[in-house]
Amino acid sequence: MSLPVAIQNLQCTRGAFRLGPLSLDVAAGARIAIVGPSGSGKTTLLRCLAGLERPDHGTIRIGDALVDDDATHASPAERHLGLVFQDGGLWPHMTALQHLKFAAPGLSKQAAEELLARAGLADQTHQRPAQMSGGEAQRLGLVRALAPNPQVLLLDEPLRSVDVHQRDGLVLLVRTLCDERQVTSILVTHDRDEALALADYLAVMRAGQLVEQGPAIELLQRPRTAFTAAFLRGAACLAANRDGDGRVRTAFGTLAADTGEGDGDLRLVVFPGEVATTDDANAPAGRVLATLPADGDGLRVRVAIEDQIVIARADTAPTGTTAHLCLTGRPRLLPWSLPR
Amino acid sequence: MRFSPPIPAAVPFLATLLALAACSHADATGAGPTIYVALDQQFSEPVLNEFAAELGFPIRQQHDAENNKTVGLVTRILEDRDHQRCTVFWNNEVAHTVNLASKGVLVSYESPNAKDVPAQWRDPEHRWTAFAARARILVVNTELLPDRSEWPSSYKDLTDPKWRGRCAIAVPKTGTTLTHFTAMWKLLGDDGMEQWIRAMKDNDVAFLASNGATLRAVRDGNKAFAFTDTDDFHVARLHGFPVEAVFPDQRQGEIGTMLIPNSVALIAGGPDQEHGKRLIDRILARDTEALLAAAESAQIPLRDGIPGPRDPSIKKVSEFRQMDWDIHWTGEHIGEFQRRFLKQFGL
Amino acid sequence: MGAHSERYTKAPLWLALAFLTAFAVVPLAVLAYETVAGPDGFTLAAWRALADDDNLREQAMASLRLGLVATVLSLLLGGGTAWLCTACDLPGRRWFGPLAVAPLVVPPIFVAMGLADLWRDVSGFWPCAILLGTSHAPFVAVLAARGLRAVDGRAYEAALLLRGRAAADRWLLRSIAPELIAGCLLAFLFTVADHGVPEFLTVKGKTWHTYAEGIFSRWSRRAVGTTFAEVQSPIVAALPFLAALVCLLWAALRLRAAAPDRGVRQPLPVQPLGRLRWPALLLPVAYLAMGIGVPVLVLARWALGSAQEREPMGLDYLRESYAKAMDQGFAAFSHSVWLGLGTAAVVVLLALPLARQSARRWPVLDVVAALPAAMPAILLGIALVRTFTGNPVFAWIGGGADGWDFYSGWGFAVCGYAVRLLPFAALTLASQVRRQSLTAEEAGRLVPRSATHRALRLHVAPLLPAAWSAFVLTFVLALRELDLAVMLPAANATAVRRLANAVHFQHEDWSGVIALMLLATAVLLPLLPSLLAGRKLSSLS
Repeated sequence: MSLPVAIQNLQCTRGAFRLGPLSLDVAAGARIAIVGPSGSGKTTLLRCLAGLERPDHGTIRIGDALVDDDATHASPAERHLGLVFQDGGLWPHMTALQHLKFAAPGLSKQAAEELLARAGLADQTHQRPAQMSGGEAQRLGLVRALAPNPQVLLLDEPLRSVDVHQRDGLVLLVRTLCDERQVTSILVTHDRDEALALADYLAVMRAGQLVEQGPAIELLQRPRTAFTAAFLRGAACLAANRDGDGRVRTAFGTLAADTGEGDGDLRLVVFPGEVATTDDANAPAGRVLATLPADGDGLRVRVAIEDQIVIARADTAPTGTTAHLCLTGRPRLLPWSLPR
Repeated sequence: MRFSPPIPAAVPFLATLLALAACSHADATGAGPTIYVALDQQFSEPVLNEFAAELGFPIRQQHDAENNKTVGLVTRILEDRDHQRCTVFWNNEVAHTVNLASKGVLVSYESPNAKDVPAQWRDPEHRWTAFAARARILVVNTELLPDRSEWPSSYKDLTDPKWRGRCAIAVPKTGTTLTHFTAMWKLLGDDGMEQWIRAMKDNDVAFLASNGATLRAVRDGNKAFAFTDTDDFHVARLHGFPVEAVFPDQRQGEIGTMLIPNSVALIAGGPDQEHGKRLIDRILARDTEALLAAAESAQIPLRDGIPGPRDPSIKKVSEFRQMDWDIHWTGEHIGEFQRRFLKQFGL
Repeated sequence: MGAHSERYTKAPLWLALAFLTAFAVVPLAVLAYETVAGPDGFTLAAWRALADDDNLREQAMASLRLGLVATVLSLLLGGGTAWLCTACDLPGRRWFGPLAVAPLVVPPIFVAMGLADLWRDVSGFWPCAILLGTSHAPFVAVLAARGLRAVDGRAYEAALLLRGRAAADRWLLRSIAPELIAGCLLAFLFTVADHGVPEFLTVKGKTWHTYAEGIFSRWSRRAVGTTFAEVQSPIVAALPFLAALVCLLWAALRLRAAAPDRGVRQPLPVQPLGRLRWPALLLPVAYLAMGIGVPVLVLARWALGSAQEREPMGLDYLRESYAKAMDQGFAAFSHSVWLGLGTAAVVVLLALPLARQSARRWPVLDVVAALPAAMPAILLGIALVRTFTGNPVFAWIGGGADGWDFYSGWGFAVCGYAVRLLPFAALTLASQVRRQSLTAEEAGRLVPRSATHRALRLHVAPLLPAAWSAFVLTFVLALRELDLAVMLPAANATAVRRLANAVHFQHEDWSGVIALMLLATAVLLPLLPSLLAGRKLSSLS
């Protein structure tokens, strides 16, 4: 069986922004999240997949069909995809039932009502989007996308406009419906929690490039780039440089030659809590920004050092505006991002 | 919201275009002549409808707009010169018809019914014939001027300081007023005309938009008297307003009252010329003049033996001294008059 | 599925563009070309003549003065009424608010007739300015009310708490400035383009004329053998004037369209007027009395027999007036209604694709669409006449006496009216399209339906309420159009033109009846949704 989605050497230029070239294969039934900060190109990638943008180069296959290459550009409707928009993208003049009937011409009224009921919208069948809550509107967006039985579902930050207490229900609904229908889902988001809730596999993007991809757990535990560590786990990435002797100079002093891998400019990755305040006046100093409420392990202090912010453990609340810091965890050195 | 049938979106547009096209006058050929009428629609429309029924062919009528009067229709005839839509032109005055004749737009047609029209009111080349006239009169408010001996009696009264700010005349940009002024130009000469206009302005004469407006100013008591046409005067009389007509300049040595007749002409290249000629014959029949004399517009018949308007204030041709004006010169110089004198009126 | 279907959905746009080209761009180009195409070939005589023509300069200045004074009055009456009804505790504001739009249905010539009847010596610059300012105040009133309703009350209250009343009001004024400016520019444009009213309200000594009058006067002289330069010079002068007006109109409509839909959660707090609460009523009452009360009263009096002294006024005379109206004017009335409905239908059909295209792809279409509205109607009429009768290249479209005669027919009048009124519908709908969600449209592109089906269900259907508003506005403006009615042959038979004639011939009695019928029709159409579907009266404005 062919891959549901196969992207090869995709390039797409929009003004000053350039996406790619990038390649990505998505396995059947996979739940993948494309994550990255704003402007990283993840939405452009999603739009290219949906056929809403035409790439400059590269190929996109969906199932057995070649939908994009230099000579081909299938229309969005011809790609048999579902797309859930960030703001719902609902049709304001149509009721919930009309949304489904219009989106899936072959769908019977009964089937449409059942689908709405599955999404908890039985009471909203004849309501228009303006009469629904944010969560209801997003559920309607989801079932509208799934109504024509697509093999691939694209989700563009679907939880963003949903209240916190409605998120779990929507997450469960997405996962359940996708599992039942064996739909491959591709999510784009800049929200780590959203990505982890809806996907098992992550692809991290930065400046139009795929930085790294892999199972979500692996990327969280063992990021291969400082960028991924910073983006997924909120790590502070301080400047580091390995000299000719192999020693690494950092804000926390010189580290041993056997620390980490890579040459030249590197990043010292410090996860939250892997640094503590110290009385050692020779230790590097940072500016105290705030003292955070204590958690189970004691006090935490937010300290600015270089151009990064670290969360440091502290025995007592700092009295001055500066605090001296020392590393408590194992120092990690990573390249900022993988070379192209 | 119900589902719409998946018809191509272009269909309503194409349907609209077809409807617009269908509303073109595709029936023009052979479906009767088209007449352009400058006489007020209210008077002329029923008369022409009656003629159509009597003659047995349809007559398409195009009426003028009051604010550009004859000029609008004349302009249209000239604009359409290369694909003429007008067969017959019924003008409610004569100068513009003469002007059209001088531009070669009219066809000679000697109607058998025109034979008894006085020669002065016929074109020697039979391109036009005049009939049923209006007189340029002074309309007086009899409540403001109850004493008949005080009434104005001449065009010169407009410049008499005695009437300063109390009289009106229309701006000579269209209609009978333009014809009147142009004819007066011939009579008074360049300097005389300049002086007359300047004297009227110095005397605070109100130059209003139309003869209707001057009549209204007198009728409503805003002005004591004004120049207007007999038809406007007659309607005000019918409506019971306190107005009276003065046929000006009737004394010895004075210029007389100007008579401005209707005129009818066959237009070169217009559709259905044969029916057009029959229509002209019908318009020039004696009973048409009688009909127009008896109608609200109270037109004065040019031919002897035709009963005139019932209102005794509107005199018959034989009952007053007419101004001797040069129709051909006037017709050919109305444009020149506008060029030379309208600037003094801000236009 | 795609390409074949896409062709169908593009067809309306191409048709609309072809229409705009044929009836706006080409006539204007023909007009411009004729200013240099003299009888003996290329000449700049008309341009030179302009330099020596003091009258034209004075007319342009008169138009400018008239436009400015009338606009200030529109701002005071329309803006003031909108503010009192939207943001203050004016007694009866729920009624006065929607009524502020009512003077729009009264043709300005009716207001002129009404004023001239009540105050018999009414004439000159100031009555003209007051009258046109009143007639065009609804543009300011409607847009100002829209602006005030779009302001978030919480933001106003925040400004009030921080900076005090005066500063908060200044902030409020700045917030609604786009709408106010847009309304004022529309009022200005309509005032300077009006030919009928200044011509009707003539002045002693005719010391001033407007520019539109000047154009028409010169055009009229064409028939009797004036010079090329004399006929063309006002049109020469009209071209830069027109360019300026296009820019103004475009700016006005864009300002209005650009005013963001702020997604108001809370309306402006209602300000207590205190002791001024009842005296403040004077403004809307005076405005409505001038704009609609006086004309309706005078027309009713005419119908009852006030304009004659032969019989007493009363119901007997009204019956007589009615009978005469049915006999003399009903054909003109029904002609006007059909012309209005035809125009409104064509305008909406053309405006829909133009609006979508200008909102989504070619904003420059706004300027092209604004072109005919910026032309004085008299000039547009001259341009249409010259193009479709006199021009050797385009006259075939107008046809001639032999067979095809589009120029003389109802269809041509509809096209002429439609091109004049198209900008209002196109720009209103374009701003509506801009407010619609792009993602909702993109969601539609994923649906396996034909492009036509998608266009109808997803693009057109949400625009239907706005399209209905555009239809009503076009219909009302078409009913009151006088200047084009003078120029276009088939439009000569409209009620407004016929009434202008009939009043001249002292037939006020049946003219009053027809005019009232016309007003009732103009009012009835916008009221239909309220009557049939229970839409709120406030939706009118």
